[in-house]
Amino acid sequence: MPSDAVPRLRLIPGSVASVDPGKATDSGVDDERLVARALQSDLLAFELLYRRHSGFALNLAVRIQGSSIDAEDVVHDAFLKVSERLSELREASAFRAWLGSIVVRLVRTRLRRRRLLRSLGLASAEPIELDAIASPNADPESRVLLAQVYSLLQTLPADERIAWTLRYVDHHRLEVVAKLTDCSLATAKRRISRAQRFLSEHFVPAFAEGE
Amino acid sequence: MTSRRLPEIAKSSLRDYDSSEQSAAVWRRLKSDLRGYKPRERRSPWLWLSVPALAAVLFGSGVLVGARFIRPQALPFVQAEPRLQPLPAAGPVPTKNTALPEAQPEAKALHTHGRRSARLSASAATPLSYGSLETSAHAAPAQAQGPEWQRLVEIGDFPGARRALDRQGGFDVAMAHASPSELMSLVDIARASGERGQAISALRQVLAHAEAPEAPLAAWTLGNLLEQAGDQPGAAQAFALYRRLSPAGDFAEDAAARQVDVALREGNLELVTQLVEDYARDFPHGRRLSEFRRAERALSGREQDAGAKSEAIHDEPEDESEENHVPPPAAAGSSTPGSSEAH
Repeated sequence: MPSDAVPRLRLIPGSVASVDPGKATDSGVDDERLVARALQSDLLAFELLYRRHSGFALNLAVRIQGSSIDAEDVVHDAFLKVSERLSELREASAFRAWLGSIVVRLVRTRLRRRRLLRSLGLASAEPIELDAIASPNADPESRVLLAQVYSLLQTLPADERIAWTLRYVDHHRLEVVAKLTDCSLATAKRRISRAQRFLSEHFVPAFAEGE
Repeated sequence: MTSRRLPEIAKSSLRDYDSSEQSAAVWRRLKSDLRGYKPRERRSPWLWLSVPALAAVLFGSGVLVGARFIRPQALPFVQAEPRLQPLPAAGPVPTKNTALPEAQPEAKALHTHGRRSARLSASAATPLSYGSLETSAHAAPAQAQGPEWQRLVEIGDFPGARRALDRQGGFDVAMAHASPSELMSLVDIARASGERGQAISALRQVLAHAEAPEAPLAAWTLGNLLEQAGDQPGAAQAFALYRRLSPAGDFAEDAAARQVDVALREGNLELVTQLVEDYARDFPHGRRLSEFRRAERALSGREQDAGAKSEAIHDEPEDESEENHVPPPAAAGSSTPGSSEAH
């Protein structure tokens, strides 16, 4: 689709439901243009941004938390914040990283709150939802690995847990991890290495090498 | 526990939520929240500068409005009403008093006391109201347009007022055409320059206008001056006049007491008894009532003693006359040669 066709995508209020979500995700317009259109109250452009990045946001939320509980709420709140603060985005091309940092912040707040409630005896430990993390096609070894890793991650502080998950579960580069967690590269490295050391010390292989 | 190498988590083993049902569900919720979607506009840095500027403008306008509409001359209208109780030496303060010499503090005190007393007497006769205050406030410029000596009196410059008075024909000329208020100013000038006679003359002229608000004060001042001059009957009359002119005035009790004082000094028991009775009736809790009662008793006792003495003195000549009429034989026989010579 040519870039000058974007204005034709402007949504008339009340006709949102008539938009085909499949077409919206395949618009081919880059994030920069969509952000510019969304800043002009173009709801369709915002929907295109959502369709393009909501999977990433959901993956991030579920993988950091280890469960799908409240993941939808986190993504919902993250996109609401995006809609409110879109004008604060300096580089429209970095929309995905910006959205990721919002999601990470919301998840971190939720994890800390949960930890506090648990220390006060007001909440129980959140169970690991293996089906929410692991693919339906994942082999048993991978499922066992994920189950044990996430059990160990639960005992770590939120920042270290997030940094390690972003690095070794979501496979982001260190610079991206630092950006998503809103800290320096050195801090991100330190958090990741601390979590890695802990996991290495406590991890027990489910299957012996001879098996 | 031994450190082991952590197996790598394959990306394919993770669930992918892209184009998932959860994503569509979130969008349905989000869509309803985004109706009327309008991103918040970025706040301009000028906004943060405009806030203190606006505050400064509001403060400045408040100050201007206050300076424009709250005038100092409006204050007396608010403060004057509760000040109906007599207060010592709280008369109008002269706005400027540069010409008053240091050696004349009494003159200024006289002036302020007189003005204050006159105002109090007037207030006792007619209750103070906003209307009367307005009248007095508007009367001030008219007074300022009077003779120069009066303007100088208003600012407390009594020597200057005296000189001005002399330049304009003298005290008597001014007194001949003066109103009661101006006469009181002339009294102040005369008293400040030690001319008691002129002051008494002016006061007597004020008392010719018995209906004037200055009359009670004039009577009281006249009583004081006559008492200082040694004219006790005149002072008593002046105090009695004050009580008639202002029975509930500020100095009514003092005037009654001064009448008793004068009567006591004269030793007129009948008058003292009458005046003490009047004092006790009008001021049952008077400060000097018990003192007067004692003085009255003492005077009465002295009168009785004097009466007894006079009776005794009166009896002795009767004996002498008897002796004269019937001389004792011894006395008759022993007449001196001189006395017989005289006869």
